[in-house]
Amino acid sequence: MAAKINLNDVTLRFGKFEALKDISLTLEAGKIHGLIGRNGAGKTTLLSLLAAFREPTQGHVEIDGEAVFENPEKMQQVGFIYEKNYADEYQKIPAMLEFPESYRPNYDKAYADYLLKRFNLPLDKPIYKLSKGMQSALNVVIGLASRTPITIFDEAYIGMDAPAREIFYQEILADQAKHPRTFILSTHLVSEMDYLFDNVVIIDHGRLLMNEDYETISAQGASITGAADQVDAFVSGMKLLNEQKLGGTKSVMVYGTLSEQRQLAARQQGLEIGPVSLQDLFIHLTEEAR
Amino acid sequence: MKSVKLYPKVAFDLFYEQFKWAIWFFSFLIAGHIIGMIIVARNDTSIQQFFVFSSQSVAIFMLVCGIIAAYAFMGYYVQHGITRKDLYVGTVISTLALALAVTLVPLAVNVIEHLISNLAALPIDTDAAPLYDPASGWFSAAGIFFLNAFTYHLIGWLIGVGYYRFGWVIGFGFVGIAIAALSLNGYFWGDGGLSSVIPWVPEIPADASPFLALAGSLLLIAVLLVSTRMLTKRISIKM
Repeated sequence: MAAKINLNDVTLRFGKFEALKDISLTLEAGKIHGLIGRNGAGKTTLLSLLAAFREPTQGHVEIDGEAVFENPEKMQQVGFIYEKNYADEYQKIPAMLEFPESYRPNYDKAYADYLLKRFNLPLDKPIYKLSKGMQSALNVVIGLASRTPITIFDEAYIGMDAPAREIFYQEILADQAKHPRTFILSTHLVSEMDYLFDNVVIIDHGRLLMNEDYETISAQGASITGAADQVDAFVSGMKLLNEQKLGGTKSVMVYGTLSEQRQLAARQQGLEIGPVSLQDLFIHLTEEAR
Repeated sequence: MKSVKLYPKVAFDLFYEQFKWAIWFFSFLIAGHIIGMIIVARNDTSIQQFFVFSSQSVAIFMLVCGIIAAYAFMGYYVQHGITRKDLYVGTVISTLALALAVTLVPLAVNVIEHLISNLAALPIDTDAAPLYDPASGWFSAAGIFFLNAFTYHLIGWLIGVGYYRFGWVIGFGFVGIAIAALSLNGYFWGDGGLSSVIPWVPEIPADASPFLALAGSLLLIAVLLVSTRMLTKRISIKM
């Protein structure tokens, strides 16, 4: 139970400002997609189109081949979780959860109760009194327990402390193994979340920079670690993304694929080759596009 | 996953939520009426019976419910996968039900007050204001009350939607439209509404021309319903 997403030539304008420019992409069903981009890149705007919060100025947004806007069947399949203002929310958590329970066909109450316990959320306090991190955790509970075939978390971790974020990531992976769905996780905490992604979408200034599976992306560069002088000699002439030095050892991130010959040569020199970090690649790509 | 028609559920939930507000509202209003009776009894005068006493307040209550409805429900329902259309149809049905409920509650309270006044003298004035004159038939009085409540909610909804969609500057224009619509409604039912705003418009009391009043009122409702649908059909949800 997962759904495939298609965007065809999607452009969204607010007056003269183009928030999204001619984006075409396919997000495969049943995978965890990471949507990354800098502040103001258009991540939330893109996601709001998937959730039928608005219509694109041009182009089509489709789920399993059908337009999503005002499509009752498709809209019911999309759960869009984002940071909400709960300053006026006087309800308590159990009352709040009655709504998704009543309107989401796949909502799992037992799972919701389990998640509430895992996040240690108080059930007897009005929601406006909860901390920011707890309110975010509540959003996460709604998103996970609703089990919508497309579940979108738009920087849902805001305000959550590191242990709570860790629970969030673990639960995504655990539930994905049991009840596969299409997840979209937008974030700029790239280094913390990259291991979750099957597929990565990078947008910048409203344009699509990349939509590739994680392996393909990690092969677009490499990390080379070894004795500092040897590493320097090996990477000379390559595009460096990042370097770190500890004593005589150096680790360098380079952009560009390494041929098998080069990889072999590196190993013969005693250099260690690893995948490039998504974070470094992201920083490089979005700087280049500027 | 098969899709189910969601608007009946939406209608029930919206009615239930607003009816809870209505219960609070009537509790205060009934308390007010009782306090009023105590005060007028001391001065040896009388107070309007509850049905008439509550008519203005109920209208304002419905107006406020309508304004809140736009803000409180739109984003919430769409975020949970309900289409604007289902929400619209659900809202209209729930508003009809709410208008009926806020008509029946004052009627019931009125009946209870009359039953009590048979046993003990209550300082209630049975001569009613012409607009909701129960003397000319309870059914027509209740009908007018119901139409008025429904219209006020629709007008509030229009203001709410106007503000939601266009922000406060243009939204202010919707307040102007609402005042015009309220005056028009008052004009049809001889409330002195429009004639108090635009002096040269003649007043048509409901009992003078019930057909004209009813036709005009229904036409106003139709215009309000169509405008709200047009404004919300493709509305962008605020985040």
